Amino acid sequence: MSNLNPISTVVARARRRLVCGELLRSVTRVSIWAGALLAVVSGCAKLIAPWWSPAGERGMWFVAILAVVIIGVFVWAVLTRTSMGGDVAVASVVDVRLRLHDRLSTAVAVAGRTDPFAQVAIEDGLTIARDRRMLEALNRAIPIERPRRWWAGPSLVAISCAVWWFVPGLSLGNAQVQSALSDAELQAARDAAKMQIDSLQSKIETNPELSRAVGESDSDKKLGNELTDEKLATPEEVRRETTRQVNDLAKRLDDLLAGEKAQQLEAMKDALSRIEPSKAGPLKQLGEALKRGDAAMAKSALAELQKQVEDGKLDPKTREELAKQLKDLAGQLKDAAQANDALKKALENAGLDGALAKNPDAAKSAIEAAKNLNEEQKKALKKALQAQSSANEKLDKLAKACESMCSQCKNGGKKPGNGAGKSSDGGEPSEGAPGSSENGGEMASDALSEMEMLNELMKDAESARSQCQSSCQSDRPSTIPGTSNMNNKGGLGTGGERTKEKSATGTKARKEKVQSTGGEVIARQLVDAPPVVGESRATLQQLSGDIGRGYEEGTEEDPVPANLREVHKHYFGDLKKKIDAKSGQPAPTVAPATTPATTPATKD
Amino acid sequence: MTAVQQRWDSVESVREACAQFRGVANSLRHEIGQVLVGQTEVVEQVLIALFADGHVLLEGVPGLGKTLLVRTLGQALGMKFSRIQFTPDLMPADILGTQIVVEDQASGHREFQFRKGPLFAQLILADEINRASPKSQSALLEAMQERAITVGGETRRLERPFLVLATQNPLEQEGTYPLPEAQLDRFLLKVIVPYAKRADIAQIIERTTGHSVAESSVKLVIGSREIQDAQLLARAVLVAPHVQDYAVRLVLATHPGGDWGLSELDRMIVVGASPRGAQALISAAKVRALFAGRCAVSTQDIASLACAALRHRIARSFEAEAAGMTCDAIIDEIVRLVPSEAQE
Repeated sequence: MSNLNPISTVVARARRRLVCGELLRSVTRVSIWAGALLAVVSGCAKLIAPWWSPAGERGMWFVAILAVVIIGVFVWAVLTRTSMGGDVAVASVVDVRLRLHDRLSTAVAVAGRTDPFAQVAIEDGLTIARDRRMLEALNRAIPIERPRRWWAGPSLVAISCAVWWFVPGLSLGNAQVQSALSDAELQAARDAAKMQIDSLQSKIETNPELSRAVGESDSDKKLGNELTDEKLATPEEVRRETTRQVNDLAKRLDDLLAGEKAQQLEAMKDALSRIEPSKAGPLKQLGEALKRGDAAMAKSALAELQKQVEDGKLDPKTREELAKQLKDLAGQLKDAAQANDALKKALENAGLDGALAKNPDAAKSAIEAAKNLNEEQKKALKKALQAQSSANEKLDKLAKACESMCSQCKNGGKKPGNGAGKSSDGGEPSEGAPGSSENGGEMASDALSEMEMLNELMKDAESARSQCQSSCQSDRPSTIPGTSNMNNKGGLGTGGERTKEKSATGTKARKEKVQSTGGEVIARQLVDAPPVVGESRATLQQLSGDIGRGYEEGTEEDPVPANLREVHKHYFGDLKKKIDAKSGQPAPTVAPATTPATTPATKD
Repeated sequence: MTAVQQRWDSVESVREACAQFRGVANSLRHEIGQVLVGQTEVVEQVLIALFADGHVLLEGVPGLGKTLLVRTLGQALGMKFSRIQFTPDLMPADILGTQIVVEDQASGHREFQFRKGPLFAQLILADEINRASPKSQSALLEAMQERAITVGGETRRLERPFLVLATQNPLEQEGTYPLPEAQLDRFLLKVIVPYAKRADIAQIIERTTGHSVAESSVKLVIGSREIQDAQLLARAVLVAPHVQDYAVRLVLATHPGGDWGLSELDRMIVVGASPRGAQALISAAKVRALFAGRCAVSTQDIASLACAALRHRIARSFEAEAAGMTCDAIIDEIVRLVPSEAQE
């Protein structure tokens, strides 16, 4: 048998290189499969939250078995794929790679033969194997290099890990758990909303007047009505509905705080702030209280004074001084009632004569006749006029009450009513005095009570609005106690008597001026009126018939495209119904002040 | 001790014999090249068939030098050359020979005497074999396989070496009869004669239409005896088991539905190669190895001869025809898909 050492050396070297290369390829293949498997497992875990969730014991077992399977497959792949076969097979690979025409493999295959042809083949093989360039050529022919797509496996593993650790689970498959969790969250959200609403309701119901004013006594408008509605299926919907209702309440409170009563109170306070209370004397306390607008204190001081006067405990000098101060106070109150500064300023701002403030009827007529005012402005002015009138009425009542007490003082504590309205000194009825001092005292007390009630109302409304604003501004999920723990955030609570502080952000209801966006004009109607530039005053009822007729005539002359017919019909039909439904109400503004009055009915 | 063992009993004698063989082959190529321009691959394969003791089917359109090649080869080999022009009315007796009545002038006795047909030669050119009827074509069967002819109950041996070189026009041409599979299988190789290349055509024109047309004379390179010795040497060439296994796997891959068939080509082949295909592959590969100066066959030898040895032994399916897959394309695909490395 020939010595095949050189060939064996070549074959052994080739085998090592082939095994290394195949090992790398096997590792790459197995890593790709393992990565893909991990990707699928992690994806499933995130999507359907299977029973083998990694957090549990079964999950750990699953991961362990998975790891064993992957390692087993890897070992199996390495063992099977790297078994390169016998020497002939390896030599054959070398022959093919180096284009040796099977000289090496034939030499190895016929190594045991002694016939001349076999010997020639072996010699040929040995000659090639002994060539110095053989090993170098072998290294080139069987390179050990990175397999193709070697990065795919590690990338898949990295993606799987990223999915596993960073992607939140959707838990689509665990419907029951998810459902239970959702129900719990929903209930927690409803409870939190109920607490929030209850707090606001209790705040409002402490003042029955406030409750009536914001409509909380109305069962339809009552807060929390729809929170138990089954349509609110998610905590977020409950939170939204709560926020909507609180916002609605805040808007009603805003309307109250900017309404007629508030204006009335402000007018009264403004007027009272003008009086100059006595610096000394028995009327000092009452005067100062009135100047501060402190109705409760004023009422108390007034009651005290009345009691002292009626009891006759005052000495004549003091009584005389009191009568004098009361008369002076009555005069100041009358003057303040006549001042009407706020209304005067409002009228002047609206382009009307400020002197009209002294005559409510004339002012009302002037407001209605004003051409440069829109309906909203007129409405606001009328409201201010009404508020001022009410305030003046109450001031008059106070003034009369003071005059009545003045008369009583002059009568030595006797009620002037007993004298059939005659004054004590001349037998004449006191000037401006009511029919009886008892009526005057009651009137003053009523006026101060009303003012006190208004004060309380406004204070409570302000407080309630502050609470609403706090609720709206706070982090919504955090305001719900049941969810604060889930979100791991500190909540702001459910409101309560919190101090009103300025914040960087907040909710403010504001009406924006809307401009026409240049949409397609689908109807134009000329109005039979002088070409007045400014606010249109044509009422909707006047226009509705013209619009309907114009639509019918227009469609006859210029048929509407088929695809728009239903839209037009629906639009004009609804428009007529809506206008008819608003029958009797003033027409809303339909065009800006600079728009010619010839296009009031332009609709788009 | 066999004749081979006696002749090539040492490494040196084997190397010497191989070198001589290669020299002869080169001389033959040179002599043929004196007459036939180009077509080196065709000449190579015809010589392979000659030394492998097999027959060749040459296929190509008329005018490509098929007949010239065979005639030149006959001159260079010093073999008895015979040409049979196959026509539709050719009868088997026209090929094999016939019994005729011969009268002795002296005695007046009459007897049947066999007159040999053109098949009784060493190098037969069966020109346009597919123009004859199947009956006449089949007259060649026994001669090609057994190297003998039986006429009138008497079998006559043909002189060795015996080589049939048949030419045929592409079957698509009119007036042709496709050769039966049994006869096709008798051909060692089927050689496709391609159109001449640009330079070859130019040279042909120069040689044949020039002012001085040289009359080429072909020298005798090798005689019948030496050819038989070369055939013996070719048979003795070494084939390693894994190389032989490669040839077997190639043949098995042509078998539709077989264990070793290729799924990609399973529906392309209707009839696969017979064991004669494997024999032809190995025999031809041995000669090719000798041509290359090697004493052992390589898988490359087998792969390079796969088309010539197998293309006439497989039948395509209708699906393959519809897909435009030729037999050569199918075999090329088989060679590409079957690994040439040794399989355990």
